[in-house]
Amino acid sequence: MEEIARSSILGGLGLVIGIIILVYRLNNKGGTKSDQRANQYGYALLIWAIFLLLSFIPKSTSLISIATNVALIACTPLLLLPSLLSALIACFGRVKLSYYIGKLGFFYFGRNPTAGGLLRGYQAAKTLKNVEHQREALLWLRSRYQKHTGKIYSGEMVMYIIIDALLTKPNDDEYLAQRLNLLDGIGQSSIPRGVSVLACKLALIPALSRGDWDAINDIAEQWNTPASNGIAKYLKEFYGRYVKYSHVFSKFDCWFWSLVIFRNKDIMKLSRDTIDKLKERENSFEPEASFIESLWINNNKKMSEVEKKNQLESLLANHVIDKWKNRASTIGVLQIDNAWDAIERSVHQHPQFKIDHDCIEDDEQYERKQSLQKNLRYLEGSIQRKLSEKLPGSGFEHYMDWLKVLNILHELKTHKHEQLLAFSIVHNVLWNWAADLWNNKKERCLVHFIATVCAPLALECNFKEMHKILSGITRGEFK
Amino acid sequence: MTPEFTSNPQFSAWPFWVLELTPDATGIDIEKSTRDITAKITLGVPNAEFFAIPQGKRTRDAFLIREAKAKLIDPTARLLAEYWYVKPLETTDTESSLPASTWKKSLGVAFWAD
Repeated sequence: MEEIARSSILGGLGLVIGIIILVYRLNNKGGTKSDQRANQYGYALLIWAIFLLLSFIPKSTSLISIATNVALIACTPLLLLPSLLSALIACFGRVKLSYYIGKLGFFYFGRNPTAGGLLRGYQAAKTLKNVEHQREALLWLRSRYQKHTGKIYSGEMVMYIIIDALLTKPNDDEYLAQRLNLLDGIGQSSIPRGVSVLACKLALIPALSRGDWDAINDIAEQWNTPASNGIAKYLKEFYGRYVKYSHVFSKFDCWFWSLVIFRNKDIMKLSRDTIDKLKERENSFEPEASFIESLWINNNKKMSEVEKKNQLESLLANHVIDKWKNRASTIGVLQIDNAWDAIERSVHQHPQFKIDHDCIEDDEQYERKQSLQKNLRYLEGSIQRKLSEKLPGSGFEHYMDWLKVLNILHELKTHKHEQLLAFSIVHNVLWNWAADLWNNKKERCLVHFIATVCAPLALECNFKEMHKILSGITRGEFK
Repeated sequence: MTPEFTSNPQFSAWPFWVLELTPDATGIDIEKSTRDITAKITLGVPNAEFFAIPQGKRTRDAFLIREAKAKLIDPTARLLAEYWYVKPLETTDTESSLPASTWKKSLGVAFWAD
């Protein structure tokens, strides 16, 4: 009995010491990524060796001794797979413990151990029964990340957005989805599967509740990461095969991915309902759909100038004007010409026909645009100052700066002309900043994200050299 | 009114969709529909808070219903709504899309404990 007790105490002590050392090392890492990973491997093997050794110390052949040995050996896989261990701990709502152990899951989370820690912390916080405790847990997770001094990777960017959005606007699914939409363009290869699946599900909520398949497909495309994300793959295949009737997408692929997510009955029900509805619509198809209906059908399609002109002529043709003026007098409109003018204005304001420089904007829109441009200039100055003073800054700080710039560019997206103008204002600073991040700070993941967003804008602004280099980065031509 | 309805003229027919009416609706139809839908929402009839548009579903409340009625009573606003009217796709099937809260539970991402 003494032997068993001694071995158990030693085994437990070895485990605790090993984990403390490992967490301490990861929190104070200063070397490059390969050094960091070597440390992780080395320490994990060390702990495993100690644990394994200690478990074999009791030599007695008694039943209790054998049972203890078996139990200790059974625990070793958990030690070797901290991601699994942290997932188990997260089920019990231990936020801090699951965060720290999650950070050790380098097999599962790859070069994103911090994202893994944040994911496990989030999962643990989700199981808490009290809203205030959940809020405290999220605040703690955010504070951990704000103190993170290492390089930043895609998984961490995603987890930060999720935690921050949940704290900023709790229960606002639209806001969370919009924030995740900002991340369109981040490097996907380093997003761990768990993070990708979580982000995809959160971004899908508003689109699923609206039953908007175009939006569902866009989100599925965004989160169809190399780390297998079953839900994104299934929705993408389903949309391609059934909603768009594309023969490029095979029935088998759709069926295969449906097996992966078959447990989600609501998605399967939505799919079945959609197929039924599409069949109904196909049977009652009217070949001569009205022009207004065709605008709904071609909602996201970019029309050519000729198509636009034809469509506009059809919507505002003379017989159409007569028809609607008659209708106006029937329903008792007093100023018929004014009523028709309102209709004509609305047609010109339709996104398909609107021309940026011609669009009429109200005072509120104008002020908002002015404020965005002012903020952009302020940001430009701030980044320029940091560059000229050669301030080191952590990956997280640079990411925060980039998110602010990205947010402004995104808000101006509806006014293409304004967006390009804003980009041309900041492109020099962005260019120098990206070069500094790439060459000196080695923030490859963040620069990849910046390049993906900025390359098309640089092309539209005719900044050829900038476009060439940024496109090279997105294609992986530079190492 | 939701910003989506004001930002794009394609949604100008929203008062008809909210009150589940067509452009041939009379003043009596508008009154009746307003009363019925408001009563359904007040009594908590399942799915009464949803209405169909040509691309999916949106939620409505008593305020939006009052606004829709006001638009349809005003002949100029009604003419604009009639011009842009397109039949919503899901008028008969209101059960295929679930509310966000159900989807959150279904996908296992409901966060804030109640």
